[in-house]
Amino acid sequence: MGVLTRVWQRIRRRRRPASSVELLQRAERYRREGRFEDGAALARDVLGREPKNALALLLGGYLHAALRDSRAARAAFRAVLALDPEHPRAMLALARIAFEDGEVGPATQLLEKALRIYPDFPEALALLDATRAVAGEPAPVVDSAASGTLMARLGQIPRPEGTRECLLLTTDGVLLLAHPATATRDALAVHLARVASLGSATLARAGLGALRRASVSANPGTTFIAIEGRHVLALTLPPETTVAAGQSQAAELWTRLAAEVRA
Amino acid sequence: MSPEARAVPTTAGVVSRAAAVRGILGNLARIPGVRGGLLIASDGFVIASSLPPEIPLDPLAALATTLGRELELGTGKLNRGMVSIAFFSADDGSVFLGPSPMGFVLLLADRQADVSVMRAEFRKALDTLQAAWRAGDHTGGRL
Repeated sequence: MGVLTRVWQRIRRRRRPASSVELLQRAERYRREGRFEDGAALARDVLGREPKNALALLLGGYLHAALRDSRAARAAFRAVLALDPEHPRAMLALARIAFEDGEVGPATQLLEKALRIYPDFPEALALLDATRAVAGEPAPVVDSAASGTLMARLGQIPRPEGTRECLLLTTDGVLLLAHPATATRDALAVHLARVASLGSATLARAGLGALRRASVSANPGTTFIAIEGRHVLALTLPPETTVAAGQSQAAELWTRLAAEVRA
Repeated sequence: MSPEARAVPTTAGVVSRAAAVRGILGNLARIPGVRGGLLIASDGFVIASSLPPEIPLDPLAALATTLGRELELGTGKLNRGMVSIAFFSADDGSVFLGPSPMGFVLLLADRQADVSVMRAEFRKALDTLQAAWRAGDHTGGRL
């Protein structure tokens, strides 16, 4: 083959636009590299050519989810399911987004459907276990008068010095004590119950046993969580508090609260 | 047909800026008491793993991502700032979970592990990850 022929072939190859498969392979490679924006752009290019390319929709959905754009991800996974109503990965991905948005019922239904079609689906099984364990909405208080009395008694128990926030709740999200009594205390109780359930499920999947203690460090302070039977105590202390000191203070406070709860 | 049969086709042998991130995870795995770690994207995709083979990777990644997102979204919605490190402890060991530019990092520790040392090392690793990400040209060229 002559030099000119080789040069011409190279030029032709360069000019040939990448196929959809090549673009998606590149997008997948970018996903593995953490280059989510670049990957999403390629998936969009493919969808520009083939709006019903299920692979491009799925990969685009994953990349939007990786970029924490739940709305775009949800739309992409829904489009996959419109093309293939039994697509297991799209059902799992959509279930995860529904769960993140607090839609526990729809998430559970999607996971159950995926598992009916594909019983051997480990991620769906793990998530289904977690969705069944967590609280979706704040659980109704059966006797508000009795609950109010208990809350008042618990509120009188001295809390550690420097306490920024203190919540006691049941594992299904019923609030027993909130200090201070902020407007978001019920939503916070549900969030803490979900964190405790998911933390517990994660530890169990790793073969480490049931959740006993946790700590979550954020800008305003560190929240020390103690799980005792069906109760979750969350004590937020200043950020400089060490884990050992915080857990010890949470344990001491739980001892005092437990006496009142049992009474 | 298994769910995997419909997964997106992959390209093997990719060298990327994720290699640097994997290196950071590898260093964490060498801390005494660490059983392994995971780097997961926010969609649950496992970017790197150094978990022992007896631990089921995908279910753990799915749960860790969901937990990470709950912490991220919950604290955001409730104006609790940004989570820097979360630590969960059980009878037989513990789990550290922290945010990274790519998603989340999870570390598994033995029961005997020195939690305060691990916490400090984990925080350092998260900072290094952040710095490595910032130092990159965001197209993967430098990493």
